[in-house]
Amino acid sequence: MTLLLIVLLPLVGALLPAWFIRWGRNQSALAAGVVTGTAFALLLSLSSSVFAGEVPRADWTWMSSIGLSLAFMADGLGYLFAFLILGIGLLVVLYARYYLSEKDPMGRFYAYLLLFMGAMLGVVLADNLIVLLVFWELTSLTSFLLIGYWKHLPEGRQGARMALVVTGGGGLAMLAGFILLGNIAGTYQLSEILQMGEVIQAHDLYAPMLVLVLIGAFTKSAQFPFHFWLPHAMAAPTPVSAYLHSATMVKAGVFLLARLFPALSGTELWFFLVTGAGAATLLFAAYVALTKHDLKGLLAYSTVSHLGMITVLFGIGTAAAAVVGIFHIMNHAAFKASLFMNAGIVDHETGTRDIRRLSGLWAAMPITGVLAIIAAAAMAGVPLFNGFLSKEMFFEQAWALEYQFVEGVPWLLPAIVTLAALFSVAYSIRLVWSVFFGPQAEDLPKPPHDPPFGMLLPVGILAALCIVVGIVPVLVAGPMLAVAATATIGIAPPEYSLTLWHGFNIPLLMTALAFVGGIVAYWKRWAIIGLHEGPLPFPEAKRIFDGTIDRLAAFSHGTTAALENGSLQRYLALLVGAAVVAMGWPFLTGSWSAGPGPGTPLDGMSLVVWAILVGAAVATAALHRRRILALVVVSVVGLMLALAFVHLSAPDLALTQLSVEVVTVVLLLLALHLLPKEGPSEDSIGRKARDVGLAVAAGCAVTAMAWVILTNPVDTISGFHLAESYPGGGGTNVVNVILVDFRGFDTFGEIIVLAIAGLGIYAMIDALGVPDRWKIGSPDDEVRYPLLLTVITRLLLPLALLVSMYLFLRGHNQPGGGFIAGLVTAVALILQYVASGIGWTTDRFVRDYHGAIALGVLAAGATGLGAWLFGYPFLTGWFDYFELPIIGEFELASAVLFDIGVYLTVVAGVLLMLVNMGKIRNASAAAPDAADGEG
Amino acid sequence: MIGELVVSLFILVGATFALIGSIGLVRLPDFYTRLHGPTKATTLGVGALLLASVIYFSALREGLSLHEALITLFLFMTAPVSAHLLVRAGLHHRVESRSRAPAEDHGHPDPEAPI
Amino acid sequence: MDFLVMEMLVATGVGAMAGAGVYLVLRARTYSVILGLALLGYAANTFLFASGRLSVGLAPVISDDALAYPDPLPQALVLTAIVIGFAMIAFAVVLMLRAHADLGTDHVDGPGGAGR
Repeated sequence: MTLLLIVLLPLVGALLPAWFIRWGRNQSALAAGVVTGTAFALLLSLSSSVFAGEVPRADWTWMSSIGLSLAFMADGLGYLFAFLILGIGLLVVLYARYYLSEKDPMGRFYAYLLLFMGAMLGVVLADNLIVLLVFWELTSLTSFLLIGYWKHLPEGRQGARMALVVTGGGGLAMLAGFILLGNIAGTYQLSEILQMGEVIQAHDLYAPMLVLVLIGAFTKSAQFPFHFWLPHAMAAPTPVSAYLHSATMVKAGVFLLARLFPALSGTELWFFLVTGAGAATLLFAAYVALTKHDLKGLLAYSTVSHLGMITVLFGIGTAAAAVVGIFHIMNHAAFKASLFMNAGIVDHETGTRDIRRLSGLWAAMPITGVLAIIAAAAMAGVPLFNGFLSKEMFFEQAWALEYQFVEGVPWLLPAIVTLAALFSVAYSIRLVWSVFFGPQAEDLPKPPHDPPFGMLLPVGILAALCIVVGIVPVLVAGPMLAVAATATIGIAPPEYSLTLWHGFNIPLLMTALAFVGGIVAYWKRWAIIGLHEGPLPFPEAKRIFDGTIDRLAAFSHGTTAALENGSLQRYLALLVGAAVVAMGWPFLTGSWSAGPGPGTPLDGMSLVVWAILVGAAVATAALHRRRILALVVVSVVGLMLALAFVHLSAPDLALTQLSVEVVTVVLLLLALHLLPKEGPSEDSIGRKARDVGLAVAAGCAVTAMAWVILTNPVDTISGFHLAESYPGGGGTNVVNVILVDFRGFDTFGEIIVLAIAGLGIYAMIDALGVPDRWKIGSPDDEVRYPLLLTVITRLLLPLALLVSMYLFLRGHNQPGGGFIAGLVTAVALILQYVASGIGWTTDRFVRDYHGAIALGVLAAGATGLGAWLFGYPFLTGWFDYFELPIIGEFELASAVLFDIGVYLTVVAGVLLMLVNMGKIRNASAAAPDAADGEG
Repeated sequence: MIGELVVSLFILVGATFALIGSIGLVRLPDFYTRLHGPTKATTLGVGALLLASVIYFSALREGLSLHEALITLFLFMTAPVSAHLLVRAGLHHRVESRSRAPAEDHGHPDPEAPI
Repeated sequence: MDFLVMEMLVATGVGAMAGAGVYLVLRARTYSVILGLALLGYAANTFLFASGRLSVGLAPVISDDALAYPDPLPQALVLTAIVIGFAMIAFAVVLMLRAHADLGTDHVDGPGGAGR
């Protein structure tokens, strides 16, 4: 529980500074400090058990199916890092209070800082790979916010973006690596994975997994070739650089190396990759650091170089080297954070960070200078400072390795290491000497003086640590190092001594060489700088990065513009093309093939109907520009389809198809009244050819699919429906019984769809405001209706209604039913409107159909709800037989009520659609075909 | 036996008239003459076919089967009306009549004249 | 396998309607697109119906002297589909009319669409 609190407290507590800022900057800083302090105290409460060798754990199962659990553990390594994060965090909070100017939104700053702190704590205390990953990405995100804190600076934004892209990309690779690792080990719990080192290393997937995980670690720790983002992140405010880019975030990568050390290290691949990358970074960054003129730039590259050193140590793979690596993590955090804060003080007080302009600040800022000297000495590895200890041990490890990278040259690694140390001495000297000593600088933006106490205190504490650890390491750092090393290696650490004097040996020689060479290099620094800036032009990483991102963006723009240019025809063509490929693929791969098939024999009439249908379909496509003709031909297709349904034993379908066909023709004719009667020819030959090709391909694919279906046997479930239709549903027309009884809910939905369509049409015509081209109304007086039509239509109405009732009532046992009856009634009523005009008919009939639609839906719904009254599920049907005197046995079924609802909705819906369409007139006085110029 | 003969006769008569009507639809020279085919001849043909159906199913089952007669009734009522409307539409659009000289002012029916 | 069977007629009929429907849907004017939708609807309905396999001349209603029945479930589904298809076509038609009235053109890409 404590562990969870330690992680959650900064995350949740991030709200406090953002809230407290309203009462002042001090209050906000206090809030941030209190949160951090509380978490620190909680951590310290665990110290007794950690130092005793126990490992406090906390575990909550989250998703056991994928092995995800919220698990934390505080072993020595995690404890050490949490100590660094919280301790240095506290110092940074204090420092930032004085560093940030009046204009900077402090509440926001502390909120981001605390969020980052919580995320980082999550990384180091996590016991589950996935939890670690989540917090890892959270650190990337929060560091993005922090680097881009000064939003108005373009370098801030670009630096933040670059950092996010690189570390985020690394995180993605790490995700893949972790999933592989989890699969290899069979679990995501770190405590278990760390026991399985041999198993993991022997696995086939070890190599790709290692590479992916290493990419994640190297991007975070800015190792070569992923180092380029760190210098650009220096656009962040100095407290951020001091915290993130020296002490914590960039350490996450080497933390990962340490954490997974027992599981992954020990193989040749690990050695080459890690040591190789580390050594390259170590040397390269140290060299570049010397050539940088910006204080923070120099420090950034030196951080990269020191991280390279730690990486080399972990790469060497022996337990002893791991111990040294951890020791250097501790030391580096101390002196680097202090140096960054120092650079921030110089920047804050003088207004510039340019080493070339700064000079002779000792007189004005003595305390700052002293602290800078201490920290720089630690960095260079001067004896009696902590940096000397770890560097000396580093040399020892490099020499003891005796690895022959090149045949016969066992001293390559020590040579590289010494050279890097040489540069390190040189830039440390530069940092101090060029800034604080020499002639007093003239034209500095602000008159320098020592900063307020609040800024000096953190630096002082850290510098003091450097000295103390340097002099009495065993006392101060010993215990922590021991537990951390044990956790890292997995077993008790080997013999090592933290004493200051190891005797005259090769490492001491290397140190001496480094010092002498460093002083010479500093003396000749301008030559080296000139070399870097002149004849050896380095490809600038930022340009490459920007160029790559720009090219990617341009590529995606181009692809989008080509595929989505606003033409619906193109989108549809692509859609159809994709669908055809999807349809055709199983045929090519052979998973679909025709079956034996029943081989129903042909007969002449079917052949004739088929020929007319196919001919009419093709004719519609060919004649589509002559719109009335196309409409006639398409209705021929519909009629042939109705005939086909009759032949294939589906009379209900045939009736429905027929009546729907009639209504559709009426609908489209009403539409044609308002459109030009001829469509223009506008597609090019190429496009037509492409579309014909697509159409033929689609037709063939659909034919093939239909053929496969028709010839393969089927296992149907409708045996149930056929068996239960009469005893369970009370009707012999199985289709109708299915519609109103077995699957009544589908039908309910269908009539609602019809209702919605009708109401939508009404809305588009009447309720949304009438467009200028239309005139809604029914000016009947200027039209004379043919008397013959009127009389016959009036006579037909009762006959039609009779037929409709007949179809309705017999629907349960013979072909018929609510839909068909409704459509017949609708057609009959439409005929009234056609024959006598909308105004005349509306005066004598229903004014508007909304009520009827609602009534229909309600009737159907009420039938369903009625079943609830009897304790049955919605829409359970009921039927029974009654004796009536003359008629005989009479069947009453609840399905009839449902069918009434369907009937009403269909009639009202169709009429609503068509009557409203009929009311539209063209606003211009002339008839539309005259206006279009075509007859 | 007699029944089969009668039914066959009616079917043949019906088919013949339908054929004649269709040929008329294709072959006759102008719009107004073409109308005669589907409205008159084909209707008669369909009526004969329906009569054949009445006789066949009445003979086959016990009792008269009269709903086909209803179909015939509806058809005979509506076919002339459709023809009437088609001609009116043709006159309104001044479709050319090739069988006689173009008449004056046939496009607008006189509002005062009786239908 | 024998290809001159009813199944082939149905399959090619469905294919012809689908192909014509696809061609029309790809046209530039909304009216043609609607005709295409109608044809595609016919094709889909027939396809669904055919999934119950063909049954020629069987009894659609339960009666004592019927030998076999056609599959009623696809028929019921297609009946629903026909009605909903009609509702969709009606809605699309009025949408097309309204768009024509508001935008002044019946090109599928709206004003400025001609020529893409």
